Amino acid sequence: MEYHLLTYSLFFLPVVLILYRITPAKMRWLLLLVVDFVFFWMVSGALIFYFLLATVVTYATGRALDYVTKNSGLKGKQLTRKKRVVLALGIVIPLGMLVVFKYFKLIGITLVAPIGISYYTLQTISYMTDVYRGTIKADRNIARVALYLSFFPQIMEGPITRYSEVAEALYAGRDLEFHNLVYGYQRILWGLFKKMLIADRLASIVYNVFKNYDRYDGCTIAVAVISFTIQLYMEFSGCMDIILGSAETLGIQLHENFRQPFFAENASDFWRRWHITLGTWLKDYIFYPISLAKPLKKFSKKVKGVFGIGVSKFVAPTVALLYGCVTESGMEPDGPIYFTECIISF
Amino acid sequence: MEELIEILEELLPGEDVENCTTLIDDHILDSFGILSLVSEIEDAFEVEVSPAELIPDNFNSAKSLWEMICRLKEEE
Repeated sequence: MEYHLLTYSLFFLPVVLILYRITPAKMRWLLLLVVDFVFFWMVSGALIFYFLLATVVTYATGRALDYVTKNSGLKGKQLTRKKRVVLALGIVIPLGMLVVFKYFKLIGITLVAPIGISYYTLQTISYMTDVYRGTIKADRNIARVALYLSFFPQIMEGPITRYSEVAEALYAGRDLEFHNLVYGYQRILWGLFKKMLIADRLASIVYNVFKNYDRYDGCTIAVAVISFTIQLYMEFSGCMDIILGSAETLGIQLHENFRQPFFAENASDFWRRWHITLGTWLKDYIFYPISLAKPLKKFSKKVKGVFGIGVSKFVAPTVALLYGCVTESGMEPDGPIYFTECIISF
Repeated sequence: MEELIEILEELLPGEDVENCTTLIDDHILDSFGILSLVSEIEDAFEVEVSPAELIPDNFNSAKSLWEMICRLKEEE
């Protein structure tokens, strides 16, 4: 099941909407959870086990952080240290699974990954870290955590959402509204147009030129390169339109992931308009935490004393960038470049 | 507050740091600038700024920054 297939927009989604409509409001979030699992099973089958494991670990870590905060009797730095250990232990398992599925191919072992492993792993880390920071309270209901992590429109391609942004809407079970259905399906149609009529048509031309580049002149190759950029954007943003439109039919607003990137004024502006939610996730959960780590801050101060603030201000971010490039390189084809550019842009 | 304004003026020369309320929203302060500002604030006011505090609500204006600093001092 892929989002651009007509079976999704003309069969799967309408069936979900009908079931949603006839389900009592209090039970609608449970229906969504069942639909999410069915969707997951249809694409990845028994690999759903890894998703369930990540969900259990995420939920348990959130509850453990809650318990430590309220019942450990610790305060200040002692409490922070204990919470940090709990958080680290919680992150290891879902992140470890992601590393195994993504990095083992580098040593010749190719494993079939469950759908959306990159996206739901980032969301597990986001949830656990937000509980650690006190931004959100740990949810006492594991099914609701599972719903947040598995919401079917976004499980495969994002956008990466924060628990605080979508939880209320997911669980509210609001009635379907006519304007949401209309605008949602309009957006889905727009996404299908971008994907099927532009991206897929360009793909065959681009593939042909790139595969037989020695038969074409420079002008044709240049046009193919530009076409490839357009193809990528139309494919990804078209998919996002289908995803956001699907969520909108249910009355759920997901975060935009693109904002007219080719109208950017400069490179920094571009990376604030392309794959927005990944950029902000990297900034909030990798770049800032590493840059503000105590050992790095101490080192930056020493550098400042010797070389001045003009140099020292780049120390912590540079280390964070290097760390991010290494850890992110398995998640995106051009991970290191992407990570560097989007962090600089923010 | 005056010391904070001085820090901001040194980091963002030419900007109206005292009255601006969109330092983050208008990308006047980028991610590198935020980290430099945090370093200066921690040195000057002896507080610890955690990543959870790095949100637009705290960094969009000198006033909100000052409120954050006062709150962190009280919590210590």
